[in-house]
Amino acid sequence: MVTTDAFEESHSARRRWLRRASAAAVATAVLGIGGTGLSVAIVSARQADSGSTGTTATSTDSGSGNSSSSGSDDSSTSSGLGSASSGSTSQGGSNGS
Amino acid sequence: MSASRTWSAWSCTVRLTVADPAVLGAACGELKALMDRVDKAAGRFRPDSELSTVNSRPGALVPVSRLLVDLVDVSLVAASMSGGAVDPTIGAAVIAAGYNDDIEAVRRRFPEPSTDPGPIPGWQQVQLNRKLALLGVPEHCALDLGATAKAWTADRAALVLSKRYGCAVLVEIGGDLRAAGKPAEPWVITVAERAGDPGVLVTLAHGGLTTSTRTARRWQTPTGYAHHVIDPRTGKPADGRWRTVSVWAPSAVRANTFSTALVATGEAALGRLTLAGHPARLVADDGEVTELSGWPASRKAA
Repeated sequence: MVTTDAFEESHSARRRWLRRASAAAVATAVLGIGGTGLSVAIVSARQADSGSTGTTATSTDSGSGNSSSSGSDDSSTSSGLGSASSGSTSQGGSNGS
Repeated sequence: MSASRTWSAWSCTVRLTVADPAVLGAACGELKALMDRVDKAAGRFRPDSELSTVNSRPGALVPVSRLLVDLVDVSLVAASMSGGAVDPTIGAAVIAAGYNDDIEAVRRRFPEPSTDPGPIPGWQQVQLNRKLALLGVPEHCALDLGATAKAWTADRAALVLSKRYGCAVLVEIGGDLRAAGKPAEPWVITVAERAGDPGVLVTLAHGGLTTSTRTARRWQTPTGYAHHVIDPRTGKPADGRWRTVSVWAPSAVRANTFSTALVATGEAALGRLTLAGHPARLVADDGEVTELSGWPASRKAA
């Protein structure tokens, strides 16, 4: 009597193997993509930090802090000085100090 | 019609002028409060100031207030802008020259000889972490923010007060002036080497006008007079070509940077001023006056 038991048994074993292999491949892909994304995020965060927490004052650093920290409005470049007319009364003094 | 009030602080004359007399009292209170805060942060002669704490702990990063971060930041900007002529690390040199107490106390005491200041560490050695508000100085270094703190305070006060009260404001702290807001007529200002000296009249519509000199804040030593403007190249009181310099710029900090740099290092700072194109009035040791970059035709003050 010819039976197909042996064939069906090996066939189902191959299908199980294929299912497990495809599941492992999907899991590997998901973990790989997730890990890469996480690595990129960490590297980006580190780069951003290192740019803003340098402790040594450089000319570039200090230049960037000028307008914000001094509160000075340096936008007007036209001279604010003029000639005083005769008979003017002084309202202030720029005396050497 | 404007109103003004004058008082003494930081060993100099302070004057606040506002276009609206009704706000003078409140505005004076705010200016005094700001000056108190600056003194507590950066006072060189106060042992309890934050700056004194930082200077007493060289080599360490010390947590400081945002206000001191701003003040140090501005001093480093001034150092960079002036090519190192206005350097905040001259603290030890100023003390070595004899200026180690309030100027009136220094003048009253028996003349003391100057000591060797040693090399100036240089502003690049200052460690300032703006994000975490940490400040550090290297060994044998003391910060002195006297060159920029007055001008910064004048800038800050004028801008804040003119916005808050909606009127033109003129803040004067020991020769550093800042005008903010839009006055009906430009302010009339006397520019002089020292308070009470004959001066010249100019008008100031906006921006900063400062005068730096080595003839005012000085004291007797056994070998002659010393003064507080230090040449960072030598670590000693400057002896350059000009004894007094007045400069206009968009802010008092910027004007003061150039006026101090010219007194401190003389002709070495002239190129930067010419490039910036700010009007300036320079008085040489022999009294000769040079006016640059559109300084207005001056009229002698009465």
